[in-house]
Amino acid sequence: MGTTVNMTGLRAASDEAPAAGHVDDVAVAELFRTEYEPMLRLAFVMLRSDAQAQDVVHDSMAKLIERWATVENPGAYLRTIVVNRSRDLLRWRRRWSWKPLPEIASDDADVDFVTDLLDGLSPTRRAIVVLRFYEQCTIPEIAELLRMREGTVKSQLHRSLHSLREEIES
Amino acid sequence: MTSTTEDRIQRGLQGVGRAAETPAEPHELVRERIDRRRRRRHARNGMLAGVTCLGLVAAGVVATRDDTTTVTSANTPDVESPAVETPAVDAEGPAPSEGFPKVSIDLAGLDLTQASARTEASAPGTVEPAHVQVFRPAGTVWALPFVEVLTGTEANMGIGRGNPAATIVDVNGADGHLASEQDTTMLGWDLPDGTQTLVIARGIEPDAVIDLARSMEKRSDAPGWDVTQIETLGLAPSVDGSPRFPEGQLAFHNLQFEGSGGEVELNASTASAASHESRVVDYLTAGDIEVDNTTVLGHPAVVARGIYDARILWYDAGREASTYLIVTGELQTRIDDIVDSIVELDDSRWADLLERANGSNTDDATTGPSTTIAPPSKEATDAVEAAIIELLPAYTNATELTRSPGVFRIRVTDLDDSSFTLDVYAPDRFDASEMEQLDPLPDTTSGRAWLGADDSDLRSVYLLGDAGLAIRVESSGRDGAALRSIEELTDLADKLASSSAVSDLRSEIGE
Repeated sequence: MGTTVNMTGLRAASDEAPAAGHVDDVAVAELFRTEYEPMLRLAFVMLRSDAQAQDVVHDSMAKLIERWATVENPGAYLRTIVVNRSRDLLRWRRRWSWKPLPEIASDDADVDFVTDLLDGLSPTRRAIVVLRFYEQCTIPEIAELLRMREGTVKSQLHRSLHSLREEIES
Repeated sequence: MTSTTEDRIQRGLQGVGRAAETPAEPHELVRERIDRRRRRRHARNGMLAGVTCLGLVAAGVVATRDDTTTVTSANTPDVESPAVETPAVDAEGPAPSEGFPKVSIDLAGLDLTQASARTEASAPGTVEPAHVQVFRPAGTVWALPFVEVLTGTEANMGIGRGNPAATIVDVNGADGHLASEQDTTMLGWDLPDGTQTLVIARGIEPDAVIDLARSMEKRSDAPGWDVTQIETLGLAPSVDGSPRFPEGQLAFHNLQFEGSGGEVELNASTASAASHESRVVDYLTAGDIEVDNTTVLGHPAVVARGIYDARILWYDAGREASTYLIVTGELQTRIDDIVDSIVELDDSRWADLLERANGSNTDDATTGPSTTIAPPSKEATDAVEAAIIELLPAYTNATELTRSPGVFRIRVTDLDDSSFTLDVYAPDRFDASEMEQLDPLPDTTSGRAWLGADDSDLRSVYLLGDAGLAIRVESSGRDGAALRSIEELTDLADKLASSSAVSDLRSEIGE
């Protein structure tokens, strides 16, 4: 990770936030150290854009810090915001300014394989696949995170994998 | 799916994740984001003002976004509930604000799910008053560029002090905090009397904003500023006043609708022109917002399209009514239809609307909170979903489960190319005599059927089962989705009516 954090600035910035309450500098610093890069990578896997991934993560962390005192599980809260904002951004991108996602410069055949497969999925299915296979989330965790029913997550995941298999076989 | 393929997916995703670039000083970027959110909040909550917007927030009318853990907008302003005193009190005595427009949406496929309407009496607040001045091109209603000049105190406004992205410029001897982002510039400074001023401009170069600020002269006999050089920018005064609540009774309306792939939320409240203008400016300075002009019910209106939602805002000056709609999901593609479908209801239809949304009689259309629609039990919905999976091979997912007294609703997406909405009614909510006005369809094995809507966007079939079961199945053809045939809908309704899952559900929704 190696992210050096000056929490004084974050604390000062959030003190005037209406819902900030008490901001635990040490806990925020620890969350930043442990979660920032994973969240950035998660958003990037979803969005494949550094600028948009950073935008999503920075705004999500800002919101979390503002609401620190009222959030029971900051890590889960942060992941929920990041995933749902990324999913909404994908929806918007598809609706309003659709264009192919940037290519990843990689010699890794698996990267090419997975990016091609993800491009064929809807934002929600994309989120489910990423959460399942990148974040290693369980079905109930995905359902809670995306506010979907477990049965829906299962069927979406099944259909996504089914279509992926057809892609592979073709 | 072999484990090898799953492994490839995992490895591939890990490889994509490794390609992400980490910025050099991420904590600084997060801190700047906090600053930006705070400035927006100050500019909105403070200036919308002391007595006004905070009352709306406390009343739950402005703070209507589900802002807990899921979707909110990064580039449209989050509306958050500051922990402040409530400046408005429950109304007693005087009659509700008569003549306040009762606005709704009448669009096929858009279902009302919740509604509330109430009044409060305005009451003095303790927050220092604020002042709003808005300038835009002469003769226009909503346009870029524009300038907003806000005057207030630290209690209701922030000027970006301490923002590392800000530069300090001289404003007639005072330290001006100048910050620019995209095409929006903010310049704030302290005044000798302890108040502050913040100039917000979009579409104007920072240097021009500085020149404008230096030319402004504080009025001695009235709040606000004389901004004579505004004409050099091609702008003219639009609003000059306090964003306080108007005196007397205040109306608050909130309607929520569901449609295919999205939701619409309508909020209307008594507000001053300055308060409304501040809200609009807040949207227009929020970031990647595309703005169009339109007309709603004869009033000039603005459509602001953000990344996550679209908003329609207008002001009824004659009745001091500020209204805005939040449109989410794929319904954003139907903004023009939604604008055209906005209607003003008479008292009778308004009462009907509230009753329909809340499932109970509402004698006074302007009192009484809304009734929250509770979700159905998990067991019942699981069983219905399982039954649907069996009936629809291409089933993808089910969403938007709601239950109100006597009605259960489940929306089913059938792959990505069509959708169904299934309603199961208690018999007393489904009158066969009313159905007689519809075109009858051949009887099914489980009961009598009628054809409801039947156009290019919507087709629905009603079925009144012999066992006292009443259901409605609707297919939407919007956004290019395949509209299911009458025969398909009838067959689906018949099979659902025959299923034990739906029968069991019927007992859950009561008589």
